[in-house]
Amino acid sequence: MSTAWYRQVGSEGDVVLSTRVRLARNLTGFPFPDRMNAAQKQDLKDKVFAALKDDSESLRLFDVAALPRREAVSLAERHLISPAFAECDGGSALFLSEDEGLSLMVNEEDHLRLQTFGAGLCLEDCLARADEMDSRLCDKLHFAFSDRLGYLTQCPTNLGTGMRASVMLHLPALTESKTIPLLAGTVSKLGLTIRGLYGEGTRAEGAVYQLSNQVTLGITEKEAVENLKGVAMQIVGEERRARERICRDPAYEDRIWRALGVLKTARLLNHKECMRLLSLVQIGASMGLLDVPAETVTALLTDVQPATLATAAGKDLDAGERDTARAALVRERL
Amino acid sequence: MLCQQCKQHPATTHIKRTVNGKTTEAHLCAACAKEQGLSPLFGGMAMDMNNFWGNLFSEPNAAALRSTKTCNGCGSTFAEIANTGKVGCPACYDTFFDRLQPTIERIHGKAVHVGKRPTDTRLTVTETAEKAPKTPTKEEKIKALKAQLDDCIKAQEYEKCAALRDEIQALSKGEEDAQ
Repeated sequence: MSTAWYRQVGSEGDVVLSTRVRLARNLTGFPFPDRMNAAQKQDLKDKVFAALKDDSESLRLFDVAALPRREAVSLAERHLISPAFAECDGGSALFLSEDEGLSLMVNEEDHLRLQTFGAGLCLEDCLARADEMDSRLCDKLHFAFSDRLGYLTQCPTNLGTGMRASVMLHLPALTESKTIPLLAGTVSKLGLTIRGLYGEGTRAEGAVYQLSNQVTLGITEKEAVENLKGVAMQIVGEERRARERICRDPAYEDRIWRALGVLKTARLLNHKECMRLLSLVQIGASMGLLDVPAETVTALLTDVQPATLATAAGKDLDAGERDTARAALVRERL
Repeated sequence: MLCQQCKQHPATTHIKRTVNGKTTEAHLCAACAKEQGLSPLFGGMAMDMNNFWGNLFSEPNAAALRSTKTCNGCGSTFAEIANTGKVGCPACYDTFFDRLQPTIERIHGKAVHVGKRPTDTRLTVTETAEKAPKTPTKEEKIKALKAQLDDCIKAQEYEKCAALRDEIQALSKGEEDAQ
């Protein structure tokens, strides 16, 4: 558990927190999930269960609707499932690999949403793992596909490869210099999009952003991933230069040290404050100012999330209890 | 402040609605808010994407929206797809291809699929084997135009009917000439 990808620091780990590749697939002979009844959902689940029997990934099955709500939301906080999937009411299922590097959501927006994850920048590895799993599933299930439109999906935005590849970027210095809106405009011209931490329409908590490909039709998976990697590396370069500049400012350096001070001593930490301070400590650690292991900060980014805290406590926590538990956890780790 | 609905628990979800310039406020506890589909946990994180994509389909083509044609696969009409922003089933892409195409082009441009195919065992296979779709034959074009004409007749849009009829005639004439 402690070595899951979201607690590790990978390649370009000072800026790139993690990588994800998602493939959307649907089966022929069924309506898309929004128009399926309970019997059809069950029928489709049975087909997927049968296809995954004896699979080399040996996935574990989770009935998300039957999990305590805190555990379901914690899965979303760890990015293993979408926030919407955490709210689902029966009829869906989640398969998760032992290392939590591969997840398969059944009856989400599409019949199948296959996701692979890794620490740092590792688009090729994630794509290869997703591709292999997809090919094995394809041997046993009949995927809806058109010569012209590629893999058919419930929302036309995913037509074609059905692939959304994304990298999670920590961009405190570019946020500080108010460069993000400019960046968002530029990447959109390159067929990419940059958004807050949890995807569509979300805020960028702790200066964490998600950069992903927008276009899925008329571009191969490899091209999309190479394009994304190229742009990600440029942003990484920009962020590093901005950090060099910003850390020469004594006032900013002071903020980094103070952030560490507060995190080490606070008795109550709300989510927003905690993310903001962790972001500063992460920059300090990456610039070699603070003697804090990068892994410690990365793991905290996930572990201080509300439902993940409650899951660790094994019971629901109210806002006050959460702030206490969060502060205690951060003090212990730092 | 107590929840307006159950009057038992403290209100933690506050909703301000402005409809036609008239603003109403509601203060609910977590349980009552959830009942109304207003969950605070991921609140403010996801905007209404359904509505957003739904707008993508807002074709000025009123005839298409009024058409009673249904998909053999799932029974959806085009209006249902346009309203939800979600396609009904894989077969809808065949049934309503002409009407979905403008939306697809707006999202992806005039592109065709070049990525992995279900027959490929590994991605690398597709790198050289790029397959373009066949362009529709003249008969297929005429058939599609005739279907549009039927819809326009039903919707009593006679100006469009005339234009479509001319187009069909021109295509059929070309066919005869070729023969």
